[in-house]
Amino acid sequence: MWILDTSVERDRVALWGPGGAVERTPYPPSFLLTLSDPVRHGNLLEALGAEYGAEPVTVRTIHREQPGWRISAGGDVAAAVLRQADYGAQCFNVDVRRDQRYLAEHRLLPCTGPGEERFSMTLTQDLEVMDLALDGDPARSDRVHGCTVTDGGRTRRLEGDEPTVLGDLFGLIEAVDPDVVLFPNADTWTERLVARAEGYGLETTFSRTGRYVTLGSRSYFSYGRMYHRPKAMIPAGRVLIDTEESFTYREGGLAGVLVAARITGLSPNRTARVTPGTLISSFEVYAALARGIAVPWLKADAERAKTLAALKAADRGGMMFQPALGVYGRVYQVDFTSLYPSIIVKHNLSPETVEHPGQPGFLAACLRPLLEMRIKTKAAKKADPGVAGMDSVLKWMLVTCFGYTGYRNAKFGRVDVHEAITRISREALVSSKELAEALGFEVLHGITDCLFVQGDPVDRLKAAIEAATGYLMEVEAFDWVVFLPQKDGTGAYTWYYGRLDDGEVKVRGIMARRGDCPAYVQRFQRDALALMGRARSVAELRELAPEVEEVYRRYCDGLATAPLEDLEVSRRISTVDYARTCPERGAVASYWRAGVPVAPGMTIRYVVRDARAGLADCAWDADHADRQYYHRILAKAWGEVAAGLGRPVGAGECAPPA
Amino acid sequence: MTCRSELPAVLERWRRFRRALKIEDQPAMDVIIAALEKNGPATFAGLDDPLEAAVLAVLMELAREVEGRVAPL
Repeated sequence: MWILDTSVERDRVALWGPGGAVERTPYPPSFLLTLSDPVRHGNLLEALGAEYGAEPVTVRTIHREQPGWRISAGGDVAAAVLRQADYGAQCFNVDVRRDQRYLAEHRLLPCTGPGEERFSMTLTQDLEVMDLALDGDPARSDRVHGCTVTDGGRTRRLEGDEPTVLGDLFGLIEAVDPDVVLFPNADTWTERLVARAEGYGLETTFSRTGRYVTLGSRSYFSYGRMYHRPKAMIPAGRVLIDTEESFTYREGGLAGVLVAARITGLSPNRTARVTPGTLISSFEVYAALARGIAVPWLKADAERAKTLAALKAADRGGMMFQPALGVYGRVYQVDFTSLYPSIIVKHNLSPETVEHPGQPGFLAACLRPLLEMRIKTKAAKKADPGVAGMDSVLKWMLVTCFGYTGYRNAKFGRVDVHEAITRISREALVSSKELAEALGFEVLHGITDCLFVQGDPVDRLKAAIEAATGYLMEVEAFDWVVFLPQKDGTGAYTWYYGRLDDGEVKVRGIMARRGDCPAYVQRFQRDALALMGRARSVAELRELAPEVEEVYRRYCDGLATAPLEDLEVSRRISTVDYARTCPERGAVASYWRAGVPVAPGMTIRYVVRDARAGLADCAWDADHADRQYYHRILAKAWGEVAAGLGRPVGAGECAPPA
Repeated sequence: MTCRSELPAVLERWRRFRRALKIEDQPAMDVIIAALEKNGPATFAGLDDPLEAAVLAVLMELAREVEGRVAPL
C-alpha cells in the first residue's frame, strides 16, 4: 500500500492509502527495560510480568547489547518503573510514536511506491489535491461567510451564512474526497470550524474517521528566535496542511512534505507540522528502530565532567574572517556542500565513537544516505525545479542535525561530537584560506563553510581545496559584491549583495530580505537593486548612481501618498511584555484592544501611527501612518543601496516629509 | 601563584590566531609571537594574570626596540 497517513487507534495502528483505503493492525504499546541489578529488582520484574507480561529480550543500544525485557505497557508504566527502581532502570522506545515504530519494525515507509526507496527523489503516486481558502482573518473571531475551493482545475465559490458555507464545504470535501487539503491557516481555523459545525449539527469531513488528534499550541525558542505554533487538530486518513504556518510546506511544497514523511517515517500530517529539528531526530529514530537499535527514553550518556580549560578549548563555534567593507569586482564565493554533516560522515562521528573510534558510528552511518541524497537533489534542482522543494527540506534537516548533536535531550546527541565537528570545520576553513593564499588568491571574507575570494583560476582553487580536505565545494561567481557595515562600523558576516555572473542579484541580510520591512521600502530596494543588476562591473555600477538615486527620490516623493497596506509591518514578536516605548508595544496593545490574543512567537501586522509615542494600529484598523518614521526606514534602505554606489553615508538622502 | 603553566596554551592560541589572519598580516603577528616566546618565560613566571604577562612580554620587546638597545626582531 502507498501509505498516505498513519494513526494510532487505541491498541491498533491504522495505515491509510489514497482514496480512503485503510488497513488496521493490532499493535499495542510496549517498551524495553534494562535493570542495573535484576536481582535487587526481582519483585518489580515479577509484578510487571504478572500484570503486563515481561518477555526476556536482548536490548541493543548504540553503545552495547544487554539483557532486558519487553514490557507490554505504555509510558505511564515506564515512568512508574523508573520511580520504583530508584533510577536503577533504563527504559527504551517509550516516547517514540507508535505508528512510526510500527513502520520501522516492518520496514514500511510512508509515501513510497513500488520501485521507490527511502532516499529516492521520485514521487509517482497521483494524489487528489484540494486547495481551500476561507474568507477573512482567522485571528479575528468573525463568522465564515465564504470560501474558495479548487480541485482538479475547477474553482468554486461557496457563499452564504455560516451554516450554509460550512455545510456546503464539508459536503464538497466528502463528495470530492481529496487525499490532501491545502488550506492557509488551517490549524487556526480547524478548531473553530469543528466547534461551529458541531453547533450546527454538521459533520466535519477533514478527517476520514471524523476524529482528530489535538496538538497543543506553544511558544518556543529556536536559534535565537521566538516562534509560536498554533494549536492543531490533525485529521486521520487525509492530509491537511496549513500552508501559512507549515515550515516544511513553505520550504518544500507538497513534494517536500511527502519526501520528509518518506525519510523520517512520520505521516505527512506530522511532517507538515514539525520543525526541521524534529524531522532530523525522527529520521534518526526511524533509522535506529529499523536497525533494531533501542531508542533511549531518558538518556544516560550526558556530558562528562571537564576542566574549565578543556571546556574553553573545546567549546568554540565556527571560524570567521571579518569581511573588509566596500565594493569588490569579480569575486568568487566558494562553499563547502553540507560541511557539518559531511564531517560527521567522513570522521565517523557518533556518541559511541567518542570512546571507541574504531567501530562504525550510528550517526555517521544513518546520515550518509541522507547526505548523498542531498548532493543529488542539489545537482538535480538546477534542471528540474520540482526537486527544489525536496532539496530545501533536506538542506534544513542537515543544517539542524549538527545542532542536535549538542542538544542534551537529543536521542543520539552528545556535546563531544558537536565540539569535534566545529573543531574539524575550523581547521578545514583555515587550511582552505591558506591554500587560497598560496595559490595567489585574496581572501576577502569567510564564515564557517564558505570563503569569498578574488583571483583566478577559481577551478584550480576548488580542486585544490577538495583534494586537500576531502569535502565537496561549489562556486558562485559575482561580477561585483558589496559588503555592508554592521552597527559598529566593521564588516558584517551575513550582510551583503552582489550580481552573480548569470545576472541574478543575490542579497543577504539587507532590508529587501527582512520579513518585517514594509512592502513599500522593500519595493524601493528591489527596484534599485534590479537597476544595479544591469551593471556588469564596479565601474558600470558607479555610472548608474544618478539613475538609482532618482529611484530613491521617486519613492521619497511617493511616501506621502503611499497606501497604508504598503506600510504594514509584519513582525514575529519575541515577547508581549515590553519594557520600553516602541511601535511593537503599541501594536500588541492594539491587538489586545481588538480582542485578538497574542503570544510570543506570533507574527503581528501593524501600521505605525506615532513612533515616538509608541503607538501602532492593527493592520486592519489602521487609518493613519507616521510618515516620518517610514521615511527613516526608507533612508536606512537607501543607505544600504548607496554603499554599493560608492556614496558616503548620508549622501543623496532626501529630507523627511513635513 | 604565577601563571607560568599557561604560557604554552597562550602561545598555541596566538599561533592559531596567526593562521586565521590574512597572509599580509601574518608577518606582524610573527613579530608578536616571537616577543612572547622570548620574554614570556620571565613575565609568566612573575605574574599571576596571563593577559598582563603576555602584554608585558610583547611591550618589553617593543620598548627595547624603541630604545635601540636590541636589533629589531
